[in-house]
Amino acid sequence: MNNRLRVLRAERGWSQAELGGRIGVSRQAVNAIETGKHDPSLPLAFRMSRLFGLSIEEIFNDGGNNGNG
Amino acid sequence: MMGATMEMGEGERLEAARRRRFWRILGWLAFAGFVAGVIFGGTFAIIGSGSPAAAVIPPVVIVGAVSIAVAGFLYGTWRFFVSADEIERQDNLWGSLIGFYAYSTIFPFWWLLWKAGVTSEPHDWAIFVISLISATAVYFWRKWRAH
Repeated sequence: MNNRLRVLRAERGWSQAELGGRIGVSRQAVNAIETGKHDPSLPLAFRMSRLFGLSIEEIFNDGGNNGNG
Repeated sequence: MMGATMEMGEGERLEAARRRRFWRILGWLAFAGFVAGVIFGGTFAIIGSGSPAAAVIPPVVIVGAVSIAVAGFLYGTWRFFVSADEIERQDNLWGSLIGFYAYSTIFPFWWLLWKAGVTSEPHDWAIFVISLISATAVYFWRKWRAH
């Protein structure tokens, strides 16, 4: 899943640790999400959504996959 | 570095506190595991040797010590999972799953081979250690991958 996390974080001048602290996860977790190695849970995605003031779809993009294979 | 400290944002302070809490719990678990290992290792060595000293240790003491160790392990594990974030939990769950697969694959096949007269009887400690190594390897592989 693609995401704009790195861009959104850079726009605010935040380090990965800064963002991690604000959403309650480790710096490594932020890195794993940014690089697409980990898809966040729904509660975590909502925390990011609230923090950036954006909808989840504006942060994450599944490339149009509708889940039907 | 005063400057670096002053520039630390609220999020970084929270992350640093979370990291300290996490390592403190891990440190206590490691320490408790070491102490329990020394005590139980020594006790089991005495019992296993068939030494007369083994008869001196009342069973109630052994049961009590094991109960405390199990309770401590469960409490520490609970604290660990409460303080861990979702990636840490996933790494643990993946490690545990592969460790379980290792155990549940090796034991029955080894047992079958033993029954067929191909190998010696399954060695419980060897299977336990292989399972533990498998779980640990997967855990650290996922940790390394996340960096």
